[in-house]
Amino acid sequence: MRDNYLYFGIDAAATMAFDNHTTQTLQLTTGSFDSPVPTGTNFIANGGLKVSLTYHSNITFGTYYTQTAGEITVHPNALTYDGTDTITVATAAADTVYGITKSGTGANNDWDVTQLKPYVEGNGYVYNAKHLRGIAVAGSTTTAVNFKAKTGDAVTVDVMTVTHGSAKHKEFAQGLTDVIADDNKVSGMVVVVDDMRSLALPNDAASIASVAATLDT
Amino acid sequence: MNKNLYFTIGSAPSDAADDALMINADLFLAMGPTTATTSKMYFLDRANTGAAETIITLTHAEGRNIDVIEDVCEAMAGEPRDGFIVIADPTGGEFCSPYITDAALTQL
Repeated sequence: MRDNYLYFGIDAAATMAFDNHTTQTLQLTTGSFDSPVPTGTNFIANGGLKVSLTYHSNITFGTYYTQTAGEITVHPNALTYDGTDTITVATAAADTVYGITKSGTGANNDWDVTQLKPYVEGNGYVYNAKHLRGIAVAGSTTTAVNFKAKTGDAVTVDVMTVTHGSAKHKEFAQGLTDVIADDNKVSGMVVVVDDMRSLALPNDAASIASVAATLDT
Repeated sequence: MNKNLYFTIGSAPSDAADDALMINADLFLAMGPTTATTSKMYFLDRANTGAAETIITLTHAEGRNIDVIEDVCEAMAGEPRDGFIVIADPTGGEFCSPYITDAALTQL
C-alpha cells in the first residue's frame, strides 16, 4: 500500500480590515492579523496573503481591473512587502496596469488583508496515516480522529475533531479510509479538511465542515 | 518497502556527531509550519525513549510552508529501489523541494 499523509488545516485564515483607511500602506499587527505577522519580502509574491478592497468610483484603478462593484483583489504585482509588517500598494500613477490609488476621501477606502497559506505554528499539520490510532464518534456532528502524538509520547495522542453532517460518522470514516487505502489515485499529501482554504476530502460524502485540534504538548 | 529519509545540516566536512541523520520513514509522525520560513518534521525518537521526538527543522522560502510539506510528502511516498530518500542535504546540495534551503536536527 502506498504511503499517505493526511493534512488538517486547523486554523481559519487570518484577516485584518483597514476600514476608512487614508494611506497606501497597510501595517499588519499581531493583535489584529496573527502572531507573529509574516516575515520575508517575498511572502506576498509566494502567495502567502492577498489584499482586497471594496470598489468605489472615487478610487483610481489600473487597466488590469475591470470590476465596478464588490470586493476587488489587488494584483500581487502592485504589492510590496517590507518583510516585517507593512504592505505598500502601488498607485495607479506608478503602475498604470496593476496599481490602485486610494480615494481622497478616507471613508471610501476599505481594505482587507487575508492569509492564504499557513505559516504560524499550529495553523495545520500533516500526519502519517500509518500512525492513525482510530476514529470514533465524538458528537452528533463530530468525529474524533486520533493520531500518535507528534511529541513522540508513547501514551498520548493528537486529536483532530472533524465537524461534518449530522450522523455522517460512517461516511466520514469510509471516505478517510478510502483515501488511505487507494493505491491508484492517492499518493503523498491528501487534504482531509482545511479551514484556511475551505477544502475537504475528495468525493466528500460526509459534508465535512471544519476541524479543531487537541494536541499533546 | 523499507524506506529511510536522509538529512544533513550543511556542515562541511560532514563528519561530526549529528551532522547527518538517516531515519526510518515509518517513524515520521507529523509536519507543520513553525514560522514563515521554517517547518518542522516530527519523528518518533531515534533513541526510542517513548517520551520524546526527533525534530527536523527545514528552512525554506518565506510562505512556502504548505508547498514544502506537499513536496516532502510526495518524496516520502516515492518508492526508490534502494529505499533511500533525500529530504534535505544542504551539505550535498540536494533537496526534495526547490524551496528548502537548510535543515537542523534536534533531539537525536
